[in-house]
Amino acid sequence: MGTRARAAAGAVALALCLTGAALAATIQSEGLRITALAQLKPYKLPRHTPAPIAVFLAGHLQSPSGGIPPQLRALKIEVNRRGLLQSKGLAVCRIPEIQPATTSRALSQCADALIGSGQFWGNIVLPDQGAYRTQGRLLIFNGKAGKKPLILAHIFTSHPFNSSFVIPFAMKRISKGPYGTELSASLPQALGDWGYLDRIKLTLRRKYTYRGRHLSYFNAACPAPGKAKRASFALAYAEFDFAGQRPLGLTVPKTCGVRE
Amino acid sequence: MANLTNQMDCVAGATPWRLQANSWQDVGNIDTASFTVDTNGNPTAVADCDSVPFDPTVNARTTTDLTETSSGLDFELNIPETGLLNADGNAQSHVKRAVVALPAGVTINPSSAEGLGVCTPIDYANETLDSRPGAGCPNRSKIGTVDVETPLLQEHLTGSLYLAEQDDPSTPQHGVENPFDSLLALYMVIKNPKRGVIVKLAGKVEPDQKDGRITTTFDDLPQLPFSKFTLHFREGARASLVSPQACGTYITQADFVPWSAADPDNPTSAEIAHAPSQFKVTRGVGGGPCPSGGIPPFKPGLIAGTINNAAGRFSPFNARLTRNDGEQQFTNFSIKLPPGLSGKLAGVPYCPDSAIEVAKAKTGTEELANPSCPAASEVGHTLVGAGVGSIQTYVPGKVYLAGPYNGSSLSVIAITSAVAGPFDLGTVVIRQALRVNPETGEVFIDPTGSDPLPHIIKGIPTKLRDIRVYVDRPEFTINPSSCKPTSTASTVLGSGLDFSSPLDDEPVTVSTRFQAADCAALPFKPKLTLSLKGGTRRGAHPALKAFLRMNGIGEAGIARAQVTLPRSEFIENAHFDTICTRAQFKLLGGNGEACPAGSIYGFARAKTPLLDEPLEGPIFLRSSEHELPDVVASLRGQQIDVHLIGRVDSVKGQLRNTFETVPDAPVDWASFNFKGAKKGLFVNSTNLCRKPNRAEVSFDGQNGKAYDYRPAVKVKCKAKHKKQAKHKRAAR
Repeated sequence: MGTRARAAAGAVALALCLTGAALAATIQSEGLRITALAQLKPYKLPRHTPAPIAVFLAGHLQSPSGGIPPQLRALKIEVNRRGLLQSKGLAVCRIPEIQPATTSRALSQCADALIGSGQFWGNIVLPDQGAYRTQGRLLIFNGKAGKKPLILAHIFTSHPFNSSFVIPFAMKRISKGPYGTELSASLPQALGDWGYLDRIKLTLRRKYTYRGRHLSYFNAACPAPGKAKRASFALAYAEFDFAGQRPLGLTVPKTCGVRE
Repeated sequence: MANLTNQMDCVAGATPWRLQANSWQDVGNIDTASFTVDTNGNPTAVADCDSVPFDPTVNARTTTDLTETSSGLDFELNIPETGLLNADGNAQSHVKRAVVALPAGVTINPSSAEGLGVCTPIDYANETLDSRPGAGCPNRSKIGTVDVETPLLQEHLTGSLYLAEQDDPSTPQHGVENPFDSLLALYMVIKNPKRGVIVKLAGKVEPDQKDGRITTTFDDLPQLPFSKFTLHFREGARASLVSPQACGTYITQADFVPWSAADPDNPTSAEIAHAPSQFKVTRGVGGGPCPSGGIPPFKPGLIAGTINNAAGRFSPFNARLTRNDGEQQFTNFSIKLPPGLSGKLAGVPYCPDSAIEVAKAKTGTEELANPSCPAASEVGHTLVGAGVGSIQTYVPGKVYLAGPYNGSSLSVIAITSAVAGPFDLGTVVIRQALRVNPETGEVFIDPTGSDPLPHIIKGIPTKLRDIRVYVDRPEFTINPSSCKPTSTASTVLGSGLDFSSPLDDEPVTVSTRFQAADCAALPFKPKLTLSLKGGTRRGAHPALKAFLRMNGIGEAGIARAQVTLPRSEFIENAHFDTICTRAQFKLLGGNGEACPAGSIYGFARAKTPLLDEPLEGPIFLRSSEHELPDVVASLRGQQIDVHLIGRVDSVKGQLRNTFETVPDAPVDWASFNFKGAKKGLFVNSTNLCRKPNRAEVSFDGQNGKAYDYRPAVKVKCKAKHKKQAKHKRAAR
């Protein structure tokens, strides 16, 4: 992560702490607790026209019994219709450029396509083998597979051995309902059968210039009704598919103020 | 005192009296007359046999009061003579049959066999009134003396007890070797040339097949009166008997059938006189304290080692297992050889199972003359000492290499011809499963897969005291190439209190130090070549090939090997398919046969000069106690399996595999091929052709030497070749 990106992430975190606006959504079912937290910056957004934002995301899977939570197999995130992911004119990263690669190599290959960064934690659970913790850097790139846009999550860990993964999130427009964009990924294909992700911390933020225009990958408007100055809304709906369990859905709430 | 006594066999009927007369008038013409009635017309047959008294008493005791010691036997039979000496009295009945059962625990002494001879039927026939000692039964067959007191004579009658020739089952006729066609029989010869008296009797000796208890029967004894019959089995180190193993009171059961019985051949139990006699064993072996009772102690001794302990060199290996008198018998034993001490099986054929079966059916003499197993399969010999006391009887045997047995792919077989002195007890065939620890290479005899040692053969307790094994086939046993102090260990199963029951058997482990020497003289320079074959570009999945070359016998073995792959290689998580669990690995022979196919990531081969064929097998990822699964090369062969277990970790992000324990064995070469492409475990994180990719290799020799280096991993870079070719063409 570059200096600027780190500074931005730090600023977002600091702002969240100061405002105390971080609302965590939690759901618990069948021995699994999912906690998700999202924050946007700035707090005040235009009522109609999406403006550039930074998103701080944190997710935590826990087993209330203290054991290793079940394996996350698939993830689907639906983003509020007032949110806009815009990649027009942004550099594109392709999987072969960052897989396999260390974090530094991935950055050097696709720095222009970077849209976020963070960390991950997880367990590797092999059969008849003691589970061990692993953690590493997480880079998010604007990607493409053929002509379809993707978000590529690049994971690198050096423990217990150098290993990198790329989780491609497919993007799909949703024409009806409160959510306008769907991101989906299948994890085992990328992580193998043994990876048990249980925590991520991520900052998404990318502004860029295209043909003289200042653009942002992440944009949002505040869906406040009528003349209301603020609004509570569902920022996103996440659906988690775990091995051996029914899918769990979680709505991530958010409040925003209207910037007049 | 009456001068005559009547016969006492009422069944025989009127026995005619015969009178021969020779008149002076007709000298030379002898007239004979028989009378079956007396002058009053009464029949001469005897009657009232049931009123004939019969009160024999016996005093029998071993010649020693020590436990489990060579012993003779003093046996005294007394018959009251008052009736005989009283004109109005009834003399005691004569003894028709004597059956003497020695107490359990008094058994035949194997030590007595050495130097013992036998009396053949011809020898026995040659025992005449005036034959000199040894002219009939040889002196070597004499095992005791006899003394008879009879009121009929002033002097005692004396005689000898001889061991009869053992029956040979191959002779079809009855009584060719002895009258009973038995393993053991006795001849008693009592004579007094002065009086013209000779008595020759044959007695049958029957040892119990289970506990060795001895029962001796003399039948159809002559109808002669005696007051005291004394039999003495000689004592000494080669005495015929062994005293019981524990202190206590022991009872000899003697049963006598009188001639006066209504039917002497089929007496009623009331007619049989029982004359028990007891003796005491009061001291332990060598005069020591009595064993405390219960299960005897068991402290076997083991001496084992190679004749020449030069590291990595061939040398005969000898092992000797001993036990003391008074201790539990050997039931079974295992021997675990020191790590690295192994045998060159290459070129040694197995003794076929059919030959082993033939050996079991042979007599010891036949086996000695014509061994059943081929000489080419012989790897050594044995010498087994049996008996008690300071002198034992030693019987030789041979050790052969044999094939699969009781779940083990290899076995050794000891064929001992149980020919001791005059006895031929057949062959003793002991087959022992030979196992090799696939992870350490340690060779051991598995007692669970091995035949037990016989405690008793044909009723004779073996009393094995000294088992010597000489593995002395030239260029067979090879010393470890490690000079670390180690040991040869043996777990010996003692027979407990009752050697005929396995329930109270007791294991004891004994060991003896072993250390090879002169390790520094062994060279150690293994050469490992690494190559990545297949795609060289980033993201490609090359096959990894590792080839190790060594110098076989004469070079120290590898104790530890560590290979760190170049930084370029990552693990391909997507190909990280299946892992074999440890439980799966142990199933079906324990070498990974039951592992899922997806857990196979490569193939390994290794050639050692100790075996004819290379070992080969798959390379698995197997679960482990470490953070990551182990890389396990399951090298399988016809005779042994070897599992090389590599611990996988990383250092500074580089993949590292460490074989912490490598069997100490000479190696010619070994190859480890990991799959590439779609099954490739490795993925290039950089283009391999950009710069040399160096691995780090670290070998520790069994002899303490180390050899570390950083070989370049061989890669076929086509582009470079093209460029070079281009340059070459341009240069031309």
